[in-house]
Amino acid sequence: MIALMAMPVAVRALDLSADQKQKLKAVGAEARANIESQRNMLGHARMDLVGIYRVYKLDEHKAQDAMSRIGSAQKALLEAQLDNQNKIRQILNADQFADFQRMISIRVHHPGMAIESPFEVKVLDDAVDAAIRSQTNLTPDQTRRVEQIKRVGEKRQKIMDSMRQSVQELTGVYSKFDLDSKAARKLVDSIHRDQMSLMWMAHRRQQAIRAVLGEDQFNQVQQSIEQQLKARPHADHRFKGDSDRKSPQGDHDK
Amino acid sequence: MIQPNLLDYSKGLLNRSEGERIKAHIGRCEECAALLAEEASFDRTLARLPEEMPANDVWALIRVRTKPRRFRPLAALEIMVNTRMRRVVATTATMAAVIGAFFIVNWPTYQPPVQPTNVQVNVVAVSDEPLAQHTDAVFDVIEKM
Repeated sequence: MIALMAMPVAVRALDLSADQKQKLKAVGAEARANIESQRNMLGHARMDLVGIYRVYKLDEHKAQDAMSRIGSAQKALLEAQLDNQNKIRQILNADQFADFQRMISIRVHHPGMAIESPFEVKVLDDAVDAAIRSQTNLTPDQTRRVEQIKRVGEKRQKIMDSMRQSVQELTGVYSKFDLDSKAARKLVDSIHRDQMSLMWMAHRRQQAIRAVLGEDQFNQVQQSIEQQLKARPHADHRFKGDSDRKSPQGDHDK
Repeated sequence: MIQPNLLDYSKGLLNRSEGERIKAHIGRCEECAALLAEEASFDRTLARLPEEMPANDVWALIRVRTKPRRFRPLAALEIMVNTRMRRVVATTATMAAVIGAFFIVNWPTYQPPVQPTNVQVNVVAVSDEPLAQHTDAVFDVIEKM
């Protein structure tokens, strides 16, 4: 009885055999290592792209390379998550999976989720938007570019909404023991298409910005961006290692 | 009962037996005979007076004052003032005025209380890895086994 009480809640609920537990932990460790690796690659590529965008003369070649790396890492993360879901189902039976899913659901709050750009992208966008709003006496070509920037912003929100919808549907697919692989594949591809669209729109936006702002004006904006990047919120550890990552479900375990 | 009937006797308004009885009495009673003469004389004097119409038609005045009146709202209201209905009407009117004044004063700015929606944004996912929270939850559950 004492031994039963001392067992972690998860083990009692799932009623796993020792072999199942060992296999599940191995799968989890492997997936975590893979995903953390992809997150680090994604973080480095994202910071490279931010560095490229902070120079007035846009280096298209470097930007394309960084975007390619970002896209690959984004896709690899989605694939790793799907692969992990398949492996978990090979270890657990239906009843065990139902309990497993119940424990995940108390840690995830998808009904009210929202999608937003990475912090570095948001800082760039906000600072540039403010600079553009302060511009007066624009030439016709500059005015056209400003309108283009606005349209990109509107379209970006639609893509964010589309991605949010797909993420919620994919989470629903992952919550069922009988994994609908076809539906999952379709949603993974849809999410990645949205990610690529967002990245390309951000790039087009950077091109348009340079047609509106002069180099001096652009460099002044960079000072503001520098300060905000230094004051980055501590809680956002998206691209840092596991040791200092803040667990979003930490409160449930206290 | 002779003297009260003397005037009717003089005008021939009594029946025969009553007339015979008063005639016999007057023949032997000087007082009643004298009263009869005075009654007859006064009646003749009245008969000689000219018939005149009164200067004011009293009956016309009476008819005006007693005929059914037209409905007069103010008069009806005045009557109600002294009734219990007055209090009911006055209370209802006061409440309507107060409610009306409230809406008139508050209409431009009044907004019904905002009901909390069922869906609240409690997770912000970054577009680079929108399933990060789900992935971390899976790892967390496995690690705690």
